[in-house]
Amino acid sequence: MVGARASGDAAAQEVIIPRDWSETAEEIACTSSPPPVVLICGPKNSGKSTFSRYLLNALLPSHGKVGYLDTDVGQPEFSPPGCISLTVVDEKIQDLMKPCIRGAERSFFFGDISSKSDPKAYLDYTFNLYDYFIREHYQISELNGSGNSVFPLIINTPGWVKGTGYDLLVEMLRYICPTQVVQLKISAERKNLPGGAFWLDNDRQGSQELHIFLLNSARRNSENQSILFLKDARSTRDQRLFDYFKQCFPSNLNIVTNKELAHALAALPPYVVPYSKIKVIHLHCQVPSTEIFHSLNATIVGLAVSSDLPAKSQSGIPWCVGLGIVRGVDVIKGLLYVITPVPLCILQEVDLLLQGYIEIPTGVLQVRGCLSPYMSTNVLHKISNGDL
Amino acid sequence: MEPMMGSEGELSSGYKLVPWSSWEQWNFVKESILSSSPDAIAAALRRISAWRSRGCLPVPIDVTAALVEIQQKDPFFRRDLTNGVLESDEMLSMLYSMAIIRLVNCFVAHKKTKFSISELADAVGIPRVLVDIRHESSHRDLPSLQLVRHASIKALEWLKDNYWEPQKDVIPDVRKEIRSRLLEMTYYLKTKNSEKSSSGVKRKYLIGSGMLRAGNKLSSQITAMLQSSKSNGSAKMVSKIAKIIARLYSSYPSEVVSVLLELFQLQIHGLSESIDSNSYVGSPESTNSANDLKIIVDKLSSRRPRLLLSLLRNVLEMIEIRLSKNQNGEFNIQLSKNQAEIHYMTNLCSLIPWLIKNLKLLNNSGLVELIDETEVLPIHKNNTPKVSVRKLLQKCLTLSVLGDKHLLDSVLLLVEMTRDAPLKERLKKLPLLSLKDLDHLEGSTYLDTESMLLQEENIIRHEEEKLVAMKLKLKSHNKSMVGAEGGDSDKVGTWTVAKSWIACPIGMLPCSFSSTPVLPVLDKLNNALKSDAGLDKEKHLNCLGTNDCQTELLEHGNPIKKLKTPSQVKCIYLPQETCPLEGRLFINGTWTKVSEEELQIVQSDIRILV
Repeated sequence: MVGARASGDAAAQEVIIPRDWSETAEEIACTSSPPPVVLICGPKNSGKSTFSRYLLNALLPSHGKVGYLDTDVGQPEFSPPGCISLTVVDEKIQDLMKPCIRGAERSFFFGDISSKSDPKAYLDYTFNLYDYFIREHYQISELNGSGNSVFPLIINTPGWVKGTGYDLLVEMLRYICPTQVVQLKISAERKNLPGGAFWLDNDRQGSQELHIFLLNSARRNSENQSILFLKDARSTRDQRLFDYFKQCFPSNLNIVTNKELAHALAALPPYVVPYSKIKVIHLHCQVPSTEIFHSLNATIVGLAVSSDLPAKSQSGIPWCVGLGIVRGVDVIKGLLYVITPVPLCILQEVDLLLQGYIEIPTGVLQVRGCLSPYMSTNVLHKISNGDL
Repeated sequence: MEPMMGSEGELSSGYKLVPWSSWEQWNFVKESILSSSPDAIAAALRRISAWRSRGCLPVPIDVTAALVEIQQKDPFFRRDLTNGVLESDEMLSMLYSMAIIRLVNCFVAHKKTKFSISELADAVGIPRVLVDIRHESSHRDLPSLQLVRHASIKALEWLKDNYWEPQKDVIPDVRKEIRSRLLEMTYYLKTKNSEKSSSGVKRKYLIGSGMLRAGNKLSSQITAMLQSSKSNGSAKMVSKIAKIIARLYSSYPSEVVSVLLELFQLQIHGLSESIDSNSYVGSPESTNSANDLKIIVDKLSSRRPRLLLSLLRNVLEMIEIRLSKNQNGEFNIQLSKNQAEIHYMTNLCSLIPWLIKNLKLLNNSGLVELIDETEVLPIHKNNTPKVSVRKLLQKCLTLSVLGDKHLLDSVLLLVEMTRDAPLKERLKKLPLLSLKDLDHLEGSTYLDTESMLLQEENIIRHEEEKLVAMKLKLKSHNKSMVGAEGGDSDKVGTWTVAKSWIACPIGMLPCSFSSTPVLPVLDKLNNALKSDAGLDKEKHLNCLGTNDCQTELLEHGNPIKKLKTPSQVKCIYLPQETCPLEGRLFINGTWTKVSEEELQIVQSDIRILV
């Protein structure tokens, strides 16, 4: 059973959905009252994202809208990397093999590609987004009972299922209490999650309606071993960032290649904001205040409104309205120059820049005739192992 | 010990993302972190923490910073530490051990190989004691402070020998490359000329240049080269080298410009004469280095028009810096005792009209676009360099307070270029300029600054009433206009779209009048965050020594400008606060105190003109 035919041309990849996948999706889609809350988990490369997309398309006809809570900060579905977000989708996904950028209803800028850099904040963001979904889209409000619709939620999780990653998944499952859990397995058994309701203690088991589906990863070779595509995580992330910042331009501008986009970004008149009106928070490291501009120039930041905190926030970090590139700093005039697709009316409220470890793609900096000073030749980086 | 970073060929391949904006920044950290001064070390550690936040910090820097930071907490290295803040010995050994574990693990790529850690470490020359400490502290007892402390010194030595020094050695020396290419080009230009002219003239030239510039290394080098070889096809060579330099310019614009200026700094005094005689192509007598510069710039700017703008920007900047350096107390360049300084300034100034003339030529041939500052630039794919004539005019007019005739020439040239008839008329009324005939640029002598300024003062008085009325009118509009313009008012949004923008690399900012990118200075000024115009003088002078910020500095709060410049971007912008630099005006050859009101009148006067 071969799921995706890996051909040289990525665009020509054809998706074949295994029968147990489609049966599971159909079964979940039949649940209507209450709408399903589905959590999808499994190790890296087991097909979580692909199944999520397939399930999303399966749920849309009967429910009209589907919530998508993405907790995979390394490779989010609809958001740029580093974000945990809730997206409400009302349109089918065309290409099941490729993620695409869509505007999130609510999101947080976690600022790193793995939850390990701050597990506490990671869970805080996830729980706040979940609470937000339940409040806004899952509970039938008594005030205007007929007005609001309720719809299902899909929760996609990272492929980090061992050690701290496992602990985080357990905490998430306990907090969210999904109605359906889809667990994907690969052929290397020891990399898989334990079977059953592994997150529940014995005494809590069976206390609620719960369906667990065990699925095999779609990509198998003739000996039924999982084919692990070594996705180049870095270039995937860079591509997501390109896609995200492409939104700075109207779609009729016909920017096709990343090179064209990088050129256009260098030429785009940026937003200007006085530094005195802006606060900067470093999410994962300390930076002395005197060095702030050395730290900010030519980096990617999360944009936020400091007063816009979620109700039960423990981290004290507000919602993120989008990402920006600090493309220049004028220390003398006290101005920051920022490129962002966030519309000006939302931007006006922004008074907080969140800096994490989301690296700016080198393709944005390496523009012919417009080479960023942060790109350099003759850099000694790594050790070579000598003659061994 | 072999260099740990692979072969040389590997090094030059490709660009990498680095956390520093220039190799000077890297060098600053290198010198500071390995110094013995706690203050310098602290500064380097601060900078490294900023680099770390960018996410692409090379491991050796990270580990060096860790070790040095721990040493700074160790009373063994810091005798000056007070007792209150001391860490316990156990704490210190834990810190040292952790840093050493990281060092060994980072540099020994322990994949699934048949080799042990110590074998692998040996291969890259990591001292055995560090490998032992890694093993000891991971699997056994915490090593003693004496041991790890001593090991930290060894570790730092290893890092120095295997990262800091080798990296310093491979920093691309672009300037050297550019310099040798330019010298080469000069040489071939000379050969070309000598091929053309008769041997008599050639000999004359050789003697002449030898005598005139006996102390000049460059010329003697060239002379030597000339004597030793005679090459055919020099013209071909010239264009070949021009191509190479043009390519270098694409990658390292600022370096090419600064080397170009540096190389010809001593030569440019020949330039003023050759410009006055308006001889563009070299006659036998003007076959000097100044002429070479002109030819080189000519050849290069036809390939890379932007070069001319960069040159113009750099020269103006250099004049500005000198101006601001000299402007403490009584300042009058004409009366300055420092002859060399005067000479230098004259040389610099003399370059400007020539550059502007060339700019005009490039514009005529469509290689450079002139733009209106109010124009919001659309996103365009054409990469034609653009220059704001108005802003350039403002800048030259500002600098023309020097009374230098070349600068005045430049102003007149620029006025012609604006094709703005009303503006031309208004500028003609300025006695400073009206002494010169707008149509005949050459043949003027140095102006009598004193009488000219007196005249100017009279005119200002005449205009005073008119201006006061106008000022009042403007003031009522002031608030709303300021917001719309600078974006620093609360009424309008905090975020605005940059009014004019020219494609420039991420991490750099475009210069205000030419489309050349400038690397901003990122050191935080204590009060730089105040967004209003009133920055105090000291702060500005302090940072004048640092690179590249000069343009912005002078644009913003420079004393001279404050007094008499039209430099504010918009005509309507009138600062409501009093000028922070107590007003003195250059009247009758001295800086005279004037009242605030007078000052504002003068200020608005000039602003209305331009």
